[in-house]
Amino acid sequence: MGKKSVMELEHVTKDYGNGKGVFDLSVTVERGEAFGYLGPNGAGKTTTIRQLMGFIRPEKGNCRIMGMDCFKQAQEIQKKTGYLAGELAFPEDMTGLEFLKFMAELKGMKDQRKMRDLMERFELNPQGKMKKMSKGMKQKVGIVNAFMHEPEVVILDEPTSGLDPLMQNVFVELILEEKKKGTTILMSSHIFEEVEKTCDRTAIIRSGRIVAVEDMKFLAGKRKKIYRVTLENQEAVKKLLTEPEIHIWKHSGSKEEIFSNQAELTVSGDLPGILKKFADYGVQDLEVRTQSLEELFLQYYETGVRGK
Amino acid sequence: MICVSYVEKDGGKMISVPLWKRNVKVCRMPLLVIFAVLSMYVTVIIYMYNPELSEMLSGYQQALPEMMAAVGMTGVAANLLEWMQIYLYGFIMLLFPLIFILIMVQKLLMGPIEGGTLANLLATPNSRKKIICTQILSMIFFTALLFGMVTIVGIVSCEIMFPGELAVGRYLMLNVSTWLLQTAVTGIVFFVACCVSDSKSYYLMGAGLPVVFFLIQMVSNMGEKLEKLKYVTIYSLLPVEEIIKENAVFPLQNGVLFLIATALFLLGAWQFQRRDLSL
Repeated sequence: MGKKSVMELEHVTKDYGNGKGVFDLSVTVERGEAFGYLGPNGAGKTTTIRQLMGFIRPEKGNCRIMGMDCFKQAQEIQKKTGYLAGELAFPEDMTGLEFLKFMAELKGMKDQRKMRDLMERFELNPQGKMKKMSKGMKQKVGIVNAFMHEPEVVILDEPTSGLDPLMQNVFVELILEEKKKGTTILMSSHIFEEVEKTCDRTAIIRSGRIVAVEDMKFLAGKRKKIYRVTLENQEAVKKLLTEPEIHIWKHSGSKEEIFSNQAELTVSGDLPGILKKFADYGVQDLEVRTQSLEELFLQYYETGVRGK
Repeated sequence: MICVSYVEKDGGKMISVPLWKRNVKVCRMPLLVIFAVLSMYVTVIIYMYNPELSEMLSGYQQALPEMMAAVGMTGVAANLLEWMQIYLYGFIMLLFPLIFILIMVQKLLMGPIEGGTLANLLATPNSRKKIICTQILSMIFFTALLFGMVTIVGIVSCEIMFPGELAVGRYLMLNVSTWLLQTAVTGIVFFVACCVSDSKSYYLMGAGLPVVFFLIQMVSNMGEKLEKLKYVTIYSLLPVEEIIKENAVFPLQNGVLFLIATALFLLGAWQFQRRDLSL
């Protein structure tokens, strides 16, 4: 109780044909929550956000923010909403400052203090023409624009793209601060770390369908320990993998190649017994790491749809 | 036109002032360039007015009747207004404003839709209705401004070079009618921009339709048998005869043009408010 849903999607469908679009999305985001929206490129993240912004109309289902219809009452919703587009399109002939002032006027802002604070914070020099600005610079302008009118709801489409690591940190700090103030945030991303650092819950979308909505803390607890064992040769590795307590760890997202005499595995059963087994097989090296959130998500990407 | 009623009702709330100012900034240059070109033509044509030349030109008309007729240059000018009508309002005052209209609608509507800058506007507490009304009023205002300025140049040039020879009232009527015609053409271009998503289709239809109308007009000017074609082109709705010969105060054609323009702006605005915008 006490929690109130701010954004609601009910069975939202927008079919663009050829399997493109979004299908039967149902999600609610509660007041004061930071909600991550993760998925690979082309999964339907931007399509979802366009419907929330009232740019496009869902074919089926309802899309509401603060209880108002996202298409029909867009102008009411926008009074309290900040938006950062995934593909920023700014008028090229304007300077950053001209643009921000123009937007401030359109938003009916009287107080420009927050705008200046944000510019300072992101070390944005807004004097240059948009045409000459780098991707990162434009992104900063976009972020300032999204937050400058102190919105209650913020919708961000891939907010950190183009930002350097330092600025990414500034951005994460900003999100955490806004969260404390009670701002409701929806943030799409394909970068796991920024979602991990900022979001309370995360939906995972794949091929236009939501495959999971997870609590981030719960998810963090579900991470497995992964052992990388180096043995004498390939035969020894093969033999080790036949042991019942030992399971090979594989996922399509693994980036680095491992040698033939190595294996990545997860274990079940008691640890002393397992370690003894490693010793019996003549272990030469042993590394242990915690499964990254990325790997956890990749599990969903691979099996989530099939499982349904 | 449609928005005027809103403006009055809501005390100016149906247009966005910051957007209006922005529109002025964006359209300033093309407006000035086209104005300069038109001013040059207008003054040169007025400068060239003299009865002897008129005879020489009617000599051309005898030698190349179809060619001259195609661009509306027929008949012998009995006075300065007829002279201007023959040599300006068959071609120059139709085509150059069309170029301006295409650039203007591109800058005010098609560009923001295609380039995605419209997203910035829609992400503010301004309704689509308010945005599109602001754009419509801007378009009507800028074409009116262009015609207003050219009209002043015309009157001033005539008074300097041929004092007292211009029938000012009828000249004003001719320009109001031409402006109405161009506003109807703006309606066509605007409606197209409200329906399509990319510049290619916009230019294909938005520019294509008026140009086809214009070509049909040229063909229908040429011959008696082809004259029937005038019923399929909007440009034949310019009430030249009525204004020049019959002194009509408000020719029927103007009413038709007004209705066409109103219908197209309303339909376009309606379409804009309900369409999907992939921004």
